[in-house]
Amino acid sequence: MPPPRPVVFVVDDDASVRKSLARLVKTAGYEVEAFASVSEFLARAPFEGPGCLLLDVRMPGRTGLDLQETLRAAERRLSIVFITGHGDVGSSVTAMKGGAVDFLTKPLDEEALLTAIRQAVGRTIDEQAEQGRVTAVRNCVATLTPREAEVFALVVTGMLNKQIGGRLGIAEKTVKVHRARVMEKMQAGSLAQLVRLAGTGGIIAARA
Amino acid sequence: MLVVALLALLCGAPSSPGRVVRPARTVVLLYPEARLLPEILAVEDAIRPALDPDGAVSLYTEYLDLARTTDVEYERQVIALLREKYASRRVDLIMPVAFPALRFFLSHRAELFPGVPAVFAAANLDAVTGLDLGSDITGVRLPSEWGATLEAALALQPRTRRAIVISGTSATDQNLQAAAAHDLARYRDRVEITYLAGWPIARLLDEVATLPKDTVVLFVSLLRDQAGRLFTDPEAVSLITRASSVPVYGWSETHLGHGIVGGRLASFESQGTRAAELAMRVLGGERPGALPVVDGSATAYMFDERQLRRWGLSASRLPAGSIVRYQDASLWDLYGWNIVGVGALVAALALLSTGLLIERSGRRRAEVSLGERLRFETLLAEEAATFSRVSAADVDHEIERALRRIADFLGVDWSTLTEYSEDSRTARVTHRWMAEGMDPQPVAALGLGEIPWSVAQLRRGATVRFARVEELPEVGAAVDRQTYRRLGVKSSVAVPLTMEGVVIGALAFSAVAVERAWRDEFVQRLQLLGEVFANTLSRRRAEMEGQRLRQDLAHIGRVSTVGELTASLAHELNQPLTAILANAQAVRRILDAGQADLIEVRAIVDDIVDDDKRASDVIGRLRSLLKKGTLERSSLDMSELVGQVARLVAGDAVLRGVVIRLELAPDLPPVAADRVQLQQVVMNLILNGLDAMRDSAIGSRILLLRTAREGEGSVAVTVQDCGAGIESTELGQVFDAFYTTKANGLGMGLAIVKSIVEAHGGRVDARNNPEGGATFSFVLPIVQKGP
Repeated sequence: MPPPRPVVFVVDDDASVRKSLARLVKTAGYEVEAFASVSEFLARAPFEGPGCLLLDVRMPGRTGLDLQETLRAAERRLSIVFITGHGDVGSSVTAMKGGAVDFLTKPLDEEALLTAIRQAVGRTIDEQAEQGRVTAVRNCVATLTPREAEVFALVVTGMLNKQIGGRLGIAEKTVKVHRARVMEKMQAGSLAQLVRLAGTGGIIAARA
Repeated sequence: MLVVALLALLCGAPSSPGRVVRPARTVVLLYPEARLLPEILAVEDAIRPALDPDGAVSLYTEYLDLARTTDVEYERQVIALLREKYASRRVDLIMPVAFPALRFFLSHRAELFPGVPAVFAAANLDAVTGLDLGSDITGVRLPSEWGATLEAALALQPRTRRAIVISGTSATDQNLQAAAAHDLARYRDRVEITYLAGWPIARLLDEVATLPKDTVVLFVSLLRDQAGRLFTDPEAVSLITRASSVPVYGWSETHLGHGIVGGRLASFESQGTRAAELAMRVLGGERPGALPVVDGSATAYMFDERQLRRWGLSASRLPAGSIVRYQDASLWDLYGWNIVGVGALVAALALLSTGLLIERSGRRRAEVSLGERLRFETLLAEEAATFSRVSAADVDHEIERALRRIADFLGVDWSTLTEYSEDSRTARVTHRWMAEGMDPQPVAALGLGEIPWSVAQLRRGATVRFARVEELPEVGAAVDRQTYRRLGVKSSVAVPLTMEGVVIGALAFSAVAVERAWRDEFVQRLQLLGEVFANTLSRRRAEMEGQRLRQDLAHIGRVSTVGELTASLAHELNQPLTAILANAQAVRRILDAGQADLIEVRAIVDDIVDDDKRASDVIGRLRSLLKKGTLERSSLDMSELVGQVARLVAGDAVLRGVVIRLELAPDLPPVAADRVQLQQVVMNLILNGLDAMRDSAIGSRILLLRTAREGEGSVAVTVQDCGAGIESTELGQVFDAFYTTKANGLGMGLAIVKSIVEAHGGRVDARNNPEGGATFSFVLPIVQKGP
């Protein structure tokens, strides 16, 4: 079974532009879904696979920048290529700060457009993979008991079992048992791996 | 003994110690006409307060109606009446006003006022021979200034070859005509002088309507024409100046403002003042024979700015020391509405005051029911007041209501108000009222061609009236007679509606059932009402004109916003271009891939064609937005243009507490320019000036608009404000785009001014005034004549 083809979501209020861009992107081997407005796009079921957004900045109702903000708040990883009718410095700065892959001016240069889409899809895949890892770690963390979580948080700071026991007011032997359970639940083969997982999941910051 | 007693009595009178008690004095004023003419009114207004400051003098006035002196029986009755009236009264002084009254006095003093001294006023004696004033008569002569007036006319119109001198048939007319001929004799070598003395008014108006350009008209006096129709001089002057194809000059201040260009004008007020001085001395005991006859000294070169403009006469050719009146004529342009209001109010006051005069003469002659007259005067005064404040939207309604009310009062069967088109070729009945049971159709359908004679009269500014259709001229008005008979009209009166010398319509009242004679006074009142209506209608016309102007400017507004629209237009144009490009790229990729689905390719190409059409539509819309934006150069009078724009912003200026002052040169050479664009330039400069004075003290917000010639080949327009001025470091930048000191300004106004002026080959300038504020100006080249 071949990997699913990336999907490019075209959002532009102008029907001609929408249709023609969909065609062009399709010829480059992508699946295309086109939407006339931000609301229409948001009404679609959240997309988890590879793909990107080709998003008009200025549209009646919610703008492309609004959508960018909405997706970020929802932690949905879908890279964005903005397209705009006229170079608007303010919008482009906002868009790029918000993590847009590119900001292209209409009419669109074919090469620049397809390059940007390629990059955006790649970034989406990377980000989604990263997010998958984080989610997995968090899922593991979620299985820890409160005491195990405390031990986990102190272990990754490099403390010895004796010190941890002193800090938590429990026997060194008991710390050792919790530690083994943590390694097991987190599916970590070594202390180094456990520390890396802690970084990915943001555990240190959250529980220290 | 008696003397002592008298002295004691005098000294003992506590109320007036040391004051000499004089018996009440009686003075009789003799006027030659049956009416209180404006000239006579001026004399009396000066005499009365001077002669009688504390009411100790009894003033009697006699209107001799000497126009009828050809009627021997009438004269005999007048003398008998006067003898009877003054038989038991002690008369101390007689004051004949104007030569015919003086002559009457001299002829009959032996039987009427034996031994009574006399002081005359406003009598022209220049052409009078064999006059023996005797030892107890003195007075004030009316100077002959026709020569001086003709001199001024020749200076203003150097190509003049002919002069037409107009006078009527009354005694005063004849006296003055003789004096004029006497005075003008010395110009016979320079100008061919023709005297139209005592012509019927209609023929006279026909004659002056077709005078060649090398002619001037000198108005002398026309109180009565050959047909016996009575006029006041201002009335006659109005009729003649309206009809005349060439400028008309006069000699009395009372002529000014009624259409004459001007002349060396005599003041009747000063005649009265000087006569009163002499009268006081005679009453004080001096012998008239010891007081020499004096000239009423106050004559002056006076001219009417509006007429100078009308005839294109250069003020620079006026005699030294000339007084130019009605210079505020442009105020009309500026504050049309308000002035009409004031004008109507003045008309209302005039109505009231003539009402009072009529009442006076009515008491003297006791001809007509005073009650009916008063009611009519009241009605007209009320109407005048109503129309002085009527809003444009209510004009139609109010006119119809007024027509109904007046027709009702007069007991006529219908009344109509007809408006002539601006080219005066067509007319339409705009308002009418018909009595119940009348069929409005025939009147509504009445064409100008069906009453050609009446229309011709009205167009010339004359009144049409007849008690019976048979009174209309049999030959000239044959068609009219037929039409009136067909309509069943027995009698009718129609007055022209005139606005600034142009007939814009007519007001008519007709009776079907009765033959009605229309009295002079009544027709005069109707003429006043006509003026009120004319004011109202022309003010509405002006408003419509203003609207058109505003539309032009709205267009200019569109053009100047094209700049702002460019961004959004670029966006609109970008969409189809984006689609076209993306489709073309897609189809290329499809073809490159070598597996072309021809149906899909076809669909894409169709889309490309559609989007291309869409792009051209956008361009088409842009073009239509700019449609009127093509430069159309025409010959423009910048004074007129500045006046127009000033009128447009007048309301705005009032709201901002700014007084706009105009100093517009009357005879600027034209510039070749696009009217709408230059309106925009002037508008921007005015708005800039208004904005600049936003923070100035209310009383000092004055915006001065001035036009003038600049050197030989240009015209300059300056707009001077009393604002804060321009920072000296910024003087060089004010005309740059996006330069602005206003929080909400775009900084485009002055930049637009600069680009338009420079596109017309002119230049702009901005500087600070030494006395504060800034002056913005631009200069445009004038149209060069010939190669």
